[in-house]
Formats: sequence, C-alpha cells, structure tokens
Amino acid sequence: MDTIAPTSEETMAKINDGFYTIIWGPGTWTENRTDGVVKSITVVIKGWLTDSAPMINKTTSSDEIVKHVDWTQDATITSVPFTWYVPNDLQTTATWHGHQHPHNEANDDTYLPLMKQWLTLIKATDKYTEEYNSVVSQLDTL
Amino acid sequence: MPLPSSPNQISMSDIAVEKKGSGLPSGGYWQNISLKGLSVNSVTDFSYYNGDALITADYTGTPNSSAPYGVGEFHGYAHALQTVSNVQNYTSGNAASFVRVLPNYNGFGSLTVEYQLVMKTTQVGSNYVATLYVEETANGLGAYNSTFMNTGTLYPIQTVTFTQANWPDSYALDHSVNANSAPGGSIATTTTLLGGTGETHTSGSNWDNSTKELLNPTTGTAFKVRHTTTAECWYGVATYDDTISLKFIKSGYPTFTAATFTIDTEVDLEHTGICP
Repeated sequence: MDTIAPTSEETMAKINDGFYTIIWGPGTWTENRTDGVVKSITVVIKGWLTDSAPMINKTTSSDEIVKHVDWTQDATITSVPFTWYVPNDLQTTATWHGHQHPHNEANDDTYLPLMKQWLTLIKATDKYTEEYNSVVSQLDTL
Repeated sequence: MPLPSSPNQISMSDIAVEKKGSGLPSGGYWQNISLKGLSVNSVTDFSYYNGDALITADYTGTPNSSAPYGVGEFHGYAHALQTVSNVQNYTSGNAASFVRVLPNYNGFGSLTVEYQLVMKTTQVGSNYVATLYVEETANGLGAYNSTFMNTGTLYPIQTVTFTQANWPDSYALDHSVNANSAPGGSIATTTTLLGGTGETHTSGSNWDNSTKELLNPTTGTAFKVRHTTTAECWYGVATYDDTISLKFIKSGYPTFTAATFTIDTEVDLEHTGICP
C-alpha cells in the first residue's frame, strides 16, 4: 500500500479556477444546404461553468442513469457564430440524427464519419481558436 | 532572504537588494532609490550601475502601497523565493497529450483515460532539485514532445533547483479542467483526482491545491488524473484541457509559481449499429 504524502498546514490561493463545460457540434451549429447538400456550416460554441451547467438524466439501455449536459439549453456564454465552408469531398445530403429514434443507420453511417472530419477541420481553423478562447476568457471573468 | 524584522535597522539599499534579488558587483552603485517607487508598483524603484551600464528598474511587489510610505513597512519583507534555476523541460505547446478510442461500440459506452504526475526530489551537488514529471498509464496513449510515450516512464515537465537554504517547505499542484464535447448529446464527462501509485508516496485523492510537504531528497509522490467519458449511441469527440500550476511556498516568502502548463486528453467514441 502506498504511503500518503505528508500534507502541510500552509494555504495557497488557488489560481486555476476554470472548470468549464463547452459543447459545440451539430446540436449547436446550422448546416447551410443547397439542394440538400451541406455547403457550409455556421458554428456556435456554447459554454457553462461546470457547476451551473444544465444537467439532465438519461436512462441507458442497461438502466443506468447517465447525467449529461442539456446542450439544447441557453449557454452562459455563446460564441459569435462563424461560417466554415465544407470541402467538396466532404459534402453530403445525410443529416444528423439529433438523438431522435429510430435512427436511420444508413444515414448515420454516412453522416457521422464525415461529421468527425468536419469537427477536426473546424478545430484547426484560426476562427475556432479565436471564438473558443473568447468563450473561455468570458467564463474566466464570471 | 527576508529583510530583518523590527527593530533591526534596514536601509533603502537593503530594500533595493531584496527587490532586485541580488547585490551589485564591485564598482556598481545605486542611484535615485525611491521609497514611493519601492512601495508602489509601476513606479520606478531605482537605478543602478552594474559595472557595465546604468539600468532603471521597477519590480512588482510591495508590503504596503498606500501613502505615507515608510522604510519600517519593509521589516520582514521578502520579495521572492530565489531559485538556482527553473527550467521547462518540454518543448511542445502542451506538456503532454493523451488519446484513447472506443471503436465500434453498440449501445452504452464508457472510456477512461488516466495519467500520473510525479514530483521527485533529488540532490545535485549541494543543491536540492524538485522535478515534476508526467507518466502514461495503461489507460490512454500519451505523447510528449510529439513522440509516443512508454507506459511507466517518467517524462520531465519542470525542473526547479534550489539551494538547501532556499528549499521550500511545501508545494501544491493547482488544477482546473475544461471539458469539451462535440457533438452535443448523450454524453457525460467527469474528471477525478486520485492518489497515484508506484512511488514512495501517493498524493491521496482530491489533491487539487492541497499543500504537500516538499520532502528532502530522495522521494517521489504520484498524483493521478482520471477523465471518464460515458455515452450511449454517441459518435463524437470529447476533449479535456487540464491546466496545472506548480507552486512552492516557504515561510516568509510569497508563493512562488514555478510553472503553469496544460495537458490535453482526447477521447473518441464511435458508435455503430442499432441505437436501442
């Protein structure tokens, strides 16, 4: 058994106080489509202090309760929307399931892998970094 | 070292030495030492000739910035805890990065990423050294300076060397985390701070900003960070951005923050099949 490290009576002011929950993706963005094909995406980033994020319970298929953030609610801080243009080879007519049942598996099999690539590409943009940092810095002031 | 306490005499140049962190070389001299400047931040403290050039300086830190300003207010004042050296050992933007993927799960999925921080103390010559390391565990693949880590190997984040006289009494790791998930949906992200394993000491749980004695060489204390992602029918990415500061404290000195660094973790959950 590991020996517990001796603690000290000293107190230090805490300096890293950021405990944030940030969500973005197809639940918060708008897909701009032409003839059903996604051409561009208007991205919005939502952020909450973790302690005050709106939580809902979801009962899983194995009867476990999973608490997760209700991303549909208004955020404490919402980014300025920005538009990202979808590369030609990553455009699709498939749509996000929005957690509505029953799922269309054929649609999901097309949409979800593309969505994952969109997420990676959007995260790599300067605009995402700027807006994400803006959300964090605004949460820092609360 | 802190200035003498009352009723010992202190001079303006004693205060200047304390704020500068060292005296002047042979042939050097102080000029225009301002009591207001020493007491008020952003007001010039003094100029000094270092044998080479005349330098005008302002050091942040004061025992009392309100007028009237008095030399006596500096009794017992310590400007900063001095180190022999304070070196950042990693060269990437993050001190380390971890990733783990749960592919092809059906229904309910859960994935844990764990890594350890290890504080080790050693002696080099007559000096004492405190080095903070990051360590990959079996739960998650790590990268350090853009190279894959080996489980159980210690990778240095920050190395702080003190004289034995300046060896701090205690230290703390000050932690916060931003959890990001995309897309929104049936996902929960939780972070737990646990006692680490494999060293002479374990931190115990909930170690955020908990002050530990800085033990004399040679010891090691392990701290564990666990990120747990649970989801059902969720196909997406969760990231955890940990921000951690290494802080030292020694009686009579202000807290010394040796480093602030980030460690990021990415968890991919890829659901396939029927969503129940």
